Amino acid sequence: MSMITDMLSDYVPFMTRKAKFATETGEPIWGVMAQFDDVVNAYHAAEKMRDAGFKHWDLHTPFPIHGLEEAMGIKRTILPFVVLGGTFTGAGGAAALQWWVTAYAYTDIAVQGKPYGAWEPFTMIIFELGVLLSAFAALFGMLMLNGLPRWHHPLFRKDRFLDSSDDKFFVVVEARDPSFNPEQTSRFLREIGATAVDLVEDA
Amino acid sequence: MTTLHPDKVTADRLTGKPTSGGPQGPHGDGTLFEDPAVRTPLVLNNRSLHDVTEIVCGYAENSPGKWWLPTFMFTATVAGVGTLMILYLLVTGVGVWGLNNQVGWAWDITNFVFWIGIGHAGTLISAILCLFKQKWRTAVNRSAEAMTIFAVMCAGIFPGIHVGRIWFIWFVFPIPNSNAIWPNFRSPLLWDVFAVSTYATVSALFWFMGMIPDFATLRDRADKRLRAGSGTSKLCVQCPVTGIKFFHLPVSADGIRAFVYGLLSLGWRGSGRHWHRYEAAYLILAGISTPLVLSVHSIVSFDFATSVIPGWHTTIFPPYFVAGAIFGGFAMVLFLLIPARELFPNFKDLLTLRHLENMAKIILVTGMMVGFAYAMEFFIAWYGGNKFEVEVFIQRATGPYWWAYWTMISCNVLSPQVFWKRSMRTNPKVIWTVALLVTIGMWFERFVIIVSSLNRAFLPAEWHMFFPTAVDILTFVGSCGIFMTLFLLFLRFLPVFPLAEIKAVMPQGDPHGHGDGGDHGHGDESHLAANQGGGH
Amino acid sequence: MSLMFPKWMNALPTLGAIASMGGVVTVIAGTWYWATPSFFEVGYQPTQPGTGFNHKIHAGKLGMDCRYCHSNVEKSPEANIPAVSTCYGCHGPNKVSPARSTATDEKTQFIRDAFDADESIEWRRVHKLPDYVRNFPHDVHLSAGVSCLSCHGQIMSMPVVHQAESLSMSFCLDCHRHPEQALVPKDKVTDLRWVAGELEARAAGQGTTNTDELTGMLWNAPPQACGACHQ
Repeated sequence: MSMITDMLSDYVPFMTRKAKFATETGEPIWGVMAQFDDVVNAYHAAEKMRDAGFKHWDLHTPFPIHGLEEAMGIKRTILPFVVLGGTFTGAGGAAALQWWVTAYAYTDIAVQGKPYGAWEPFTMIIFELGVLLSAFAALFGMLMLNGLPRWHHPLFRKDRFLDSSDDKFFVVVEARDPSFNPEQTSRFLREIGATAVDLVEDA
Repeated sequence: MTTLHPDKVTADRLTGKPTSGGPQGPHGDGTLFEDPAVRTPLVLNNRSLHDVTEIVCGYAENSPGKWWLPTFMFTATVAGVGTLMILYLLVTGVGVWGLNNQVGWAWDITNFVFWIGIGHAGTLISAILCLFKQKWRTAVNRSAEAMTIFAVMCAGIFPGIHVGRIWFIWFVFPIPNSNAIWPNFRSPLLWDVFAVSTYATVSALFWFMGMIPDFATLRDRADKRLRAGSGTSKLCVQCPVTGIKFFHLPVSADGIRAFVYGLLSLGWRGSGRHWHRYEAAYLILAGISTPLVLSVHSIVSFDFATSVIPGWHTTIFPPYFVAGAIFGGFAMVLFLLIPARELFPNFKDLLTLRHLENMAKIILVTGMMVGFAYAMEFFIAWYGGNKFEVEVFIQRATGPYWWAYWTMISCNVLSPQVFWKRSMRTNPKVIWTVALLVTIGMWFERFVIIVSSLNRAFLPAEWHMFFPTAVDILTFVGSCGIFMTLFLLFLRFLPVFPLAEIKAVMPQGDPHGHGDGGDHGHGDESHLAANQGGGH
Repeated sequence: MSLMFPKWMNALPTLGAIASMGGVVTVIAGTWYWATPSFFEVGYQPTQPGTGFNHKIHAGKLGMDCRYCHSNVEKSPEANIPAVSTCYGCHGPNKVSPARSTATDEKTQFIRDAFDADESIEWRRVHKLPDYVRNFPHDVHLSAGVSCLSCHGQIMSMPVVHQAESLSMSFCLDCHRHPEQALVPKDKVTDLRWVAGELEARAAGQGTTNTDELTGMLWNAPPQACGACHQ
């Protein structure tokens, strides 16, 4: 139940998560954010975070880092199967449409005496529609699995976080992580090499 | 391991030496080393990650210089003339063009094939070079993709308007209708509709997906200036001649940037879990775009090859068209980006001579491929023993359109031969000139295939000349204007280089400290440890 | 600094997806219903000159045959509109009935006016085909056994003629593909009451005519090639 309200609270205005912790000014804490200044440190920090057993955490980087999914311990995405679904829908739909039209609904055009149901001329559009729906599945599947578009996010409130799309790297631990504790987690992040650690208020 | 690594920059950094003055090619301009073990860096002058952000975002944030607005107004005017010509055609009919009963396809389909061919380099660079892990593609892939989309837009105009009654264009789609008829799925013209519209859509998706992280960068920079209170410059346009500012708006430019780029970035925040799926999606798109890009021009060539017109009815057409498309597409990329290198500050650090040289080599190779195809057409005409085909090819080289044929040969086959010499393929002026000649030559190739085949097909009684009308010419010039206008808008407002991808191939972007290239052995045993955390 | 985008925007993609799905369904359903000849064409009923021509009285009540006025329909592609003299044949001075009322006299005055002035009555065409369709050959269709009813509806019950069928391309093709649904014996094509009863009974499987015989008498199968109607 709390999972559902947590999820909804990302989208519905006026709905807030139950915060376990609060800042000194009484604002609910969404998580903690630690800055790393270069890619090697960030990469190793990710490995340490993974080994420390955190669950709801992330590393925000300006570019895709080679091998980061291993360092973070991310399971392989199911996106290829989503795309495969798109491929089969597109290709199958194209095959069915063309066969239905040419061999069943509209058998009025004789082309070079070939049978109406001949599959060879259908291959082009089967391929094209297969590719088209795969591409849609790849982009929109990726966005949906990522929970994007999501224009509003507590992290955007932090001035420092704006460098995450330039040249800085941020390890973020969310308050809903079972082992989260503002002080302890911040200390841990500093230990593994963070140059700055901030609390992120829920917004 | 580190001592054996060939990259001197990395070696210097790992041994604690200052990294300034690393290798930038034998001449310091990014040209390739003779020694294959030494890699020329992809970004010159030891730029940091932040420098790259500054350079690339600067193009979208600052005025590109006094040349931009006059150039834009000129191309927009040309585009406007083209649009008026299209409207004139639509309200009057295709009779305003010079085509006739015998030459039923002329400049319309020439322009279509020309533009769709140009639209092949972008996806080729993005997809095929991505699959082959050619890191140098990051310098040109964004602008090549943009060019692809604009070229496909120009291409789409011509088959659309050549049908005459454009309001019936929906007949080409399989829509249930009160006419109780369906399109003919066994016609290559219908395959073409699906191929071109799929290609346009997938290229646009690919292009947009690549820009999502870069939009986020632009958004964050604008947001940062807003928060610092320095983003208060009001929107206005400065007249390039008099310097008078006009068109004041009471909103700040950074406010609009943060809002528009923010919307387009879809709230991207660079999460590692997001990047994982993003890269998977990117690789899948590259994987499916590769056969797509090869299929599109093959299917375009079927429009001709499945007919019975001598000069069209040949099996060599699909590979010949694909090679020609890559050839013409790369020529257009070079034709546009070499001036951009001169006009934008620091562009040369990101688009180095190494990149130009690589592309010049591709021009040379594909130019020889189309040269082979030209020769093979003549050989098969003779070897096949079809009288009509022999006659069409004799007429092609010596008949009324001989000048078009020999323009094509000199531009497409002869001019790229200068690239055998290294000093020629590292000279931007020479490359630009050859690119211009190839672009002209590739237009003439399509003109030769279409018009010189039709005007001498079969019986002499059918023979008929084609002469373009002013509307023909202005429509084509107008399509060039539309293309250039869109490209100038792209240079002005969108991220011209793929920021995230460039950063990822820079030495500073390598988490293992290997620098550019090299292997990525993960020395850390803990990588093999059990993983936890969210998959999918 | 507050965040640029409010929280409710996070719900936009979901809401937008739902709305656009609804929008797509609405557009398809709307096009399906409205953007069709059966919506735009059926029911077209122009105002005719004078007091018009009442088919219900002439063909229905008085039992005049269609060919009395449309006299060339069996010989020509055009089902001709009668000349004013045909009307005058009955509606001239002292022609129709000694018991005619003054009111009827006044109603038909425009015929005599036109006749006296030696002018045509400008009847307005109800059934139109696009210019890219070759003239619909009435003679061919009648001699094949297609009743007037099939395209024009139950004219006998129309005081003012309106378009009863869509006359879309699929309307033509339905019949060209399945002529057995519409053919009637040639001597019955203008007997619209009999045809209406027969076609209704045939649809229920109780027709009195042999459709195999009717289709067997056709010279050719009805053409379905583009060039048959579009030239």
